[in-house]
Amino acid sequence: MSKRRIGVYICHCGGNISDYVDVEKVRRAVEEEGDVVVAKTTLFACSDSAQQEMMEDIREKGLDAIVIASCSPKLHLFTFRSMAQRAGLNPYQYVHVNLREQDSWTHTDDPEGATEKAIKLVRAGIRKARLSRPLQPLRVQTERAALIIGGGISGLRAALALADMGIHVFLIEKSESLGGWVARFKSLYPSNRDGQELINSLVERARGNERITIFTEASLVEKSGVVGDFKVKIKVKGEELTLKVGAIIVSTGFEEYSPSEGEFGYGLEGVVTLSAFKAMVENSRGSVKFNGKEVSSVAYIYCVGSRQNEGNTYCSRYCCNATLHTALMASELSPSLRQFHIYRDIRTYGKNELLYESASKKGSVFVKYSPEAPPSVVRENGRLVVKVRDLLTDGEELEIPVDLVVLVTGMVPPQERELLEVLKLPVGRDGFFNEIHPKLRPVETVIDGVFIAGAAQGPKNSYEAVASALAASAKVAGLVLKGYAELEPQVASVDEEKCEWCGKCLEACPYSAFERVEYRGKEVARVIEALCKGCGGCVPACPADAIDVKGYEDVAIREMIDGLLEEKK
Amino acid sequence: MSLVNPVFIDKIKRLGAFDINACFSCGNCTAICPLSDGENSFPRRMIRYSLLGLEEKILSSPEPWLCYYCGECSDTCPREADPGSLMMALRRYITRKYSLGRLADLFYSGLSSLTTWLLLTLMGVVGILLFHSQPNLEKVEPLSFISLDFLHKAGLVLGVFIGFFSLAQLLVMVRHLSMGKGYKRPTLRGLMRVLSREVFLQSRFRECEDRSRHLPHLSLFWGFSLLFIATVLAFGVDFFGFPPASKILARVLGLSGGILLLYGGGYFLLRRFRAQDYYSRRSHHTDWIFLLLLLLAGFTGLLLDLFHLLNLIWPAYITFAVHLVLVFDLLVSAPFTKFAHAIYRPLALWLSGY
Repeated sequence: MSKRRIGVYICHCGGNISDYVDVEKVRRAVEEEGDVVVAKTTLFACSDSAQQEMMEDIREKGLDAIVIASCSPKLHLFTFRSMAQRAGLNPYQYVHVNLREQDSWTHTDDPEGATEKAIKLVRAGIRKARLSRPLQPLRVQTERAALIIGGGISGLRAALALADMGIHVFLIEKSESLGGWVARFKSLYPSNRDGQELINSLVERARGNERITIFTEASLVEKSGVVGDFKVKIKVKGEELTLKVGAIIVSTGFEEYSPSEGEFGYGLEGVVTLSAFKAMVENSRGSVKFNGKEVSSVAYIYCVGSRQNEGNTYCSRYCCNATLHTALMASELSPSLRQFHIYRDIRTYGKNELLYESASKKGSVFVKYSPEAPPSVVRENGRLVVKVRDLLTDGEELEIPVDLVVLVTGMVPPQERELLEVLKLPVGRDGFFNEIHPKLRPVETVIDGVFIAGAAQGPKNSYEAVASALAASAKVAGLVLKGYAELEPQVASVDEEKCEWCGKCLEACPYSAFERVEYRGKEVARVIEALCKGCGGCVPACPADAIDVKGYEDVAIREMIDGLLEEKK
Repeated sequence: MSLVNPVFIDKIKRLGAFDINACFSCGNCTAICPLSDGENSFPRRMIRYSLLGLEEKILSSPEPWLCYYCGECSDTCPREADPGSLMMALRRYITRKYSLGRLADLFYSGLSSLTTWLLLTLMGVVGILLFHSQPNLEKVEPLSFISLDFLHKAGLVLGVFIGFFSLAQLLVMVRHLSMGKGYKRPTLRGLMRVLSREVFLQSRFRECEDRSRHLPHLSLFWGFSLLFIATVLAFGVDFFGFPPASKILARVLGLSGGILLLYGGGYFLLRRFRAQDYYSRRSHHTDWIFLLLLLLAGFTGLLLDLFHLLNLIWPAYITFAVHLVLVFDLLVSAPFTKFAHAIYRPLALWLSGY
């Protein structure tokens, strides 16, 4: 290995690191390392000025590798990669060392030890940098088409957005008709718009769009290929069909929580779910009626199926708003209707606060229960009675006689086992599909080219679902309109000289990214780079030691270990 | 377990708490109220009881009587729910509920109230028409028009009536309050404190940020009381043989009482008319009637004195008649109208350890 020119930057992280790690000592310890041309400390490596300085060093001192010892690569790996690129250094010749999560934050009680550890970590980084080679991202030609799974408001809106951008859309819906939940509601908060009308207008536009192909009673059965170039098999009314698409949007929505028998009196006559009550209100004429009888009082029990101690621990977000909106509709219909809202916390966020205010001014009474003492619903002498300890009234035990009890049921993820199996999408503890990062990458999944939209990701109301559908559409367009997709070059590669095909690598690979090819008269394995995720699962499986992951070669790892173990005064 | 009464709040709203539904239990009212302390979340607890219709809790609560309606709660309420109005509405509600045979109901809803006041006034007028005698037309001599004997008898009947109802209703109050959370065993010391601080000096008014009501209210109280004492004294000379000097004392007391009453009554009438303070912004008809009766009774009393002095024969007799009818209206209805706070409030204070 020829002489390298390495720059080392050690970040204070504004005290996060330097409060426990003597960064100056670290700098002094590593500046004498071989091939190190520059060693500096910096208050915030991620700041514009620090990046500028590093870029100048790269250019002026002709650095061919850099080590930045700062926070977790989760935070700034890409920041520094793009900095390197701008300075003309191949981004894969930059090595990230995590001195914060893996050192200073973990060893706040031992600054001296933390400093020692930091020196070793940086040394290991330098060793790796010394062996770094320039890598080029892999390119895949992208298909100008997308598959959308789920024809609710999110799927429909995403389909129109994509079609408008010139992308062909295959929209598959498992039921007979499009529209999902929104189509069932006659009045949506906060605009009071008719859900069916809203859906009809979207469906009409979608059906009239030549770039949108709609399949109802359809489901996804198989997916292969890579980001930008997927081959998907769908089953439409029993018939199988293969399509080529560049990206996939999953907008499979949610299901309503179904209370178990006896949960808050569910099963008793007059105990209904929110959606049932909403339908009742929407279909009543003159006044709110249940089984033909006029309803004079209602109690709503909030957070049914949401925010449970065990089970669904999340808040379903839409329910407070939807309940108060329905309560207002009900009081419009029956002005003398008495409404009791038995809640834990009212979360009518944003503009929806007005729903709470008007419901309250129109006579709705709010009773707050504690999760330790949830309300109970019984039928006594022919009347429904809600028993609850009211935190707003000195913890008074109340008995509220009502005609109807509405269980404000939350959202649960739909049971889509097959889809999960086909897409291998991770779900969170709540059972909804997981995004990569809630703030920074909210509609992307860890499966490249597969995006999530709407309530499939977690409880959302219709306008939030549409916003996320449009976000997913933008990400899809960004991917497929460019014409190609770039993939990480840190993939496996096979040394054909060493390889004698045995198939162990293919067995070990979760992505089937190996093929058997001829090489100088023998059979060897070759990596299908577009499929490889660089997980390294094949490396130890190879009996001939013929496989390496680029950027994480065995020799580099060994060097790093040596660097960590090196003892110097 | 307290049974919720979903329709109860309608009653309270009709009695003046129009906006109380807007309350969202933030507790600002409790934070600002000079009367709230660790164990007493004034006035929020009353709002909750009202919204939930916990009637028995309300009837056993002294809070509505302790409230001075300074309006600071209404002023700070972010929802403009006007908690102060609720406290006044609850007084009205409690006055109705405590009254024997629900007689007070007659005075609170529009039509029945109008009918009742007309009937009472008619009773007074008929009484005078039936029992008056030929007056002295040379010189104003009120007792030649309505005899002392009649006044004595009528006063006796009226006194027994008021006494009976007041006493009975106070017992009703004791029964309810003794079941409530705020009940404290009454002590003699407590009684003395209530009488001195709350009744005779009403110094708690000065704890309100706006102290402007203290003097007018005190004047109203003392004006009425002095006039009452003056009447008893004057009567005593003619009837019980009090020393004639009492008559001069009665005159002095009566005149000063009358002036105090006119000042206090006039002040509040003007405030209510202007409707700018929290306490005066929303006057219930019961507030108006009580105030007007007090003021007119005092006014006609002074007018009678003036006509007497000037020896204006018919004006004096007519004024006397009107005065008697007004006094009759005021007193006969006292146990059931806003007047009743004069007995309920001190008792509530005494039984809640204030």
